[in-house]
Amino acid sequence: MTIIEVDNLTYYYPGSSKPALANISLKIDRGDFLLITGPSGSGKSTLVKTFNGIIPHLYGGRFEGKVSVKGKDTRYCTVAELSRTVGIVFQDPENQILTLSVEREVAFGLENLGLPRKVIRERVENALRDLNIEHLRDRIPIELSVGEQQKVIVASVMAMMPEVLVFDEPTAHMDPLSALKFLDLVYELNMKGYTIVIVEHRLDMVAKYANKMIILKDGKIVAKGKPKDILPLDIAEESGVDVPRYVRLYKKISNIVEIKRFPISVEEAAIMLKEVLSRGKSY
Amino acid sequence: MLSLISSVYEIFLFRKRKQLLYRIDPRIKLLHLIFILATIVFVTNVYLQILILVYLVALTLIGADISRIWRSVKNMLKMLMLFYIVIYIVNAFPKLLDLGVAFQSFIAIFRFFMLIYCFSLFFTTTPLDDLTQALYKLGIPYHIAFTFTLSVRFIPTVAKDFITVYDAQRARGLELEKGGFLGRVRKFLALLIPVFIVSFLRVDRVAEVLESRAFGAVRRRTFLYELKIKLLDALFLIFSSIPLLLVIYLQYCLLSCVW
Amino acid sequence: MVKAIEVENLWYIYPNGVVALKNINLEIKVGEKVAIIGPNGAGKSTLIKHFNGLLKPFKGTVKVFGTDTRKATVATLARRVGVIFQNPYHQFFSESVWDEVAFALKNFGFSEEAIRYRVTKVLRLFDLYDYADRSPFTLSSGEMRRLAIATVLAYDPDVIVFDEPTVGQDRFQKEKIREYIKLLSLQDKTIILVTHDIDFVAEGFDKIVVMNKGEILAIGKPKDILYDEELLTKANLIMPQIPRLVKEAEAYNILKHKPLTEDDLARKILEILRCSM
Repeated sequence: MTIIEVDNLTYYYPGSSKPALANISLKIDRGDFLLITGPSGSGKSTLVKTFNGIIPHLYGGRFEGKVSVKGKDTRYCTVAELSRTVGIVFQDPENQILTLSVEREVAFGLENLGLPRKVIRERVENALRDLNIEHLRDRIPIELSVGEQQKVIVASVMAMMPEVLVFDEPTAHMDPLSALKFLDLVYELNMKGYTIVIVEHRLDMVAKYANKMIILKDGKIVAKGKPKDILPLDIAEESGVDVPRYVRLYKKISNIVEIKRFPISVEEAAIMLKEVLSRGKSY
Repeated sequence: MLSLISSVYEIFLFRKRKQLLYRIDPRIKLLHLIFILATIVFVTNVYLQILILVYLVALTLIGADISRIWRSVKNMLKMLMLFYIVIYIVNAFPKLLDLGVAFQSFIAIFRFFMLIYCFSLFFTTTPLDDLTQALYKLGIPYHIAFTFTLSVRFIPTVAKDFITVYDAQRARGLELEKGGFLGRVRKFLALLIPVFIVSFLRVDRVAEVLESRAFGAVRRRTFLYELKIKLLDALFLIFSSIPLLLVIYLQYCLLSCVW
Repeated sequence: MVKAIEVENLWYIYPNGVVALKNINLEIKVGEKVAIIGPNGAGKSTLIKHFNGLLKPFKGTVKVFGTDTRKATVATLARRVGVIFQNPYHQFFSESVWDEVAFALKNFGFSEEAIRYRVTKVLRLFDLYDYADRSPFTLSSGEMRRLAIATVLAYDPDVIVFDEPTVGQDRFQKEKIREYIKLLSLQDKTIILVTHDIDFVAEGFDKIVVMNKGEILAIGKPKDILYDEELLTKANLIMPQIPRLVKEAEAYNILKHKPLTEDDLARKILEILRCSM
């Protein structure tokens, strides 16, 4: 069941002669884990901002084509309406925190929607519990670590109970261990039923979770499909995508040695290596 | 200088406590604050002013966290001393030593101190978000009331930016201590412009986040912690006003009675 | 032979009481390429701020080319130790790209002629000469980064410090940074790079310093450090991709060579396969 559909979208920022997005078409189904990647300036952030209406409503500009969320054209819905279906987490946690208390931060969106207090209280509790940050409820958000801040922001977005969670380079400012834990958490949310759209460079940590992937370059989609089908393609490396080292390893040795399964993660690459070496021993 | 900014900012950081003032509705506290300020302004007799201070300290001991208030106020004392010296010199000129002026200046600083004390008392016992709600319930549009909260929220962020810019420019050889007045002003631009630009860039992101959280979507906004005026608030207002009324009455007597 | 940077028993405590650095001992020789790695909050940025005197030691000493940083101004130290900060927006303020590059040169007292020569040279080197009259804020993010590096290289410091240069960068941009490091190294510059990007430091460095919670946990060669799983775990880091997969595959005959890149590993694999045929 398609939840977000992009139909031949071309978008120009106000005053720009070059399109930020050109002829983008894609379908996101309920339960998908879509990975979006590409070099800087390729339009990734612009694309995800069309999913909740920030583009075109907040920025204006020239919007051609159509983006539909649950069948409704985003041009005729407000961002507030769309925020109940699509929630976005950006990369800089410090600029996404608006209040001086974690609890109120999580409640903020719900208060804006005018929901009854009982509902707000319930949803805030659920969100804090799901993200394991109940112990942080009275803390001041900007005094927390980057990883904790991002969790607070995810909780704030989740409290609005959207069906789709969009992440725009959420681990950009995190160290590798925090990033790993965060991306595992995103996968858990996918398992719980959320549709996930994530813009990421750390493909070694997240490609294994995605069932769909697109590569953007200069505002166009240059590759679309399953990660295991796209990553080994030359277009991936040529576009400036951070192709994981083990994928590049695979490409180097797969001409000479037969490899049965494409390694989508470090773990699978280890299995691949073991298997290749054991074959050598049998000669 | 930075410690002054951080101590002002600290005042707005609410930490949950059980004392009385933390439980009073912000609108009542606002009324009460206005009443205290009016009293401080009206009362000119020294002894009565000391009485007001006693009242404030008693209020703090009963209803708030005195160590917290003292910490916030401590950092201001240096600034107050500076003000005192300036006021004294300006008013004593051309005389160097004038006991009368010294005393008057002290009174002026003393009243200013009490003003700061009241505001500290108010803000440390009131979550900023509750104040925003109080203003909203008093008729101010939410997005305007929220502006204040948002500004306070970003004080440490902007301060951090300022330090980062200061470090970055010093690392390029910028020396603020050197150069004449004009030169230093130009050097200051090297600090101010990046801070402004980073702040302007931030505005875009904050706008995106506000929109994404449905800010302004609904005419009647609800609140997780809804403000309600209780019996406690009414009683507080009544009992806390009595000493103030007494002091005002005494001052009035002093002004009109011929002793 | 005077060392570029000598840190002895360095302690640093912030005014609010937080102990940021505990007993740091570190030596960086002239021409070395050093990576300082560790998680967020490890104290890496605090440490490098001692190299140009932005911070002065609470206890212990820091010497830059033999000069005690306590006895020198930031300006004199910064002349020899250039720091390239993470976010170009934290330093740009001039009307033109030319002025932006000239700023540091003017501060350091270069002559008008020298300024003209150096600015031209470095702008050409970084392909920014055509933008000389434009405002730095009209540049793309990649061009801004190039400009940030250019402003430091213009005054030719002996030590160049990169503070988290790979955050938010795509592969092309990271490769460009690697190229610049190689270029600088050819000019005998001492390079110090602070990062938590464990895969970036797999190539191009002579030694790696591992930090966590204000302390140095280890200093060693990349091969040794990046294969030490216990050490990296203690530092709240993870192993880079290649060492991780070699360890997980329990490929002991490859393990002893400790390959760090996919090229090294591919070569070893093919060697082994050929040998066993």
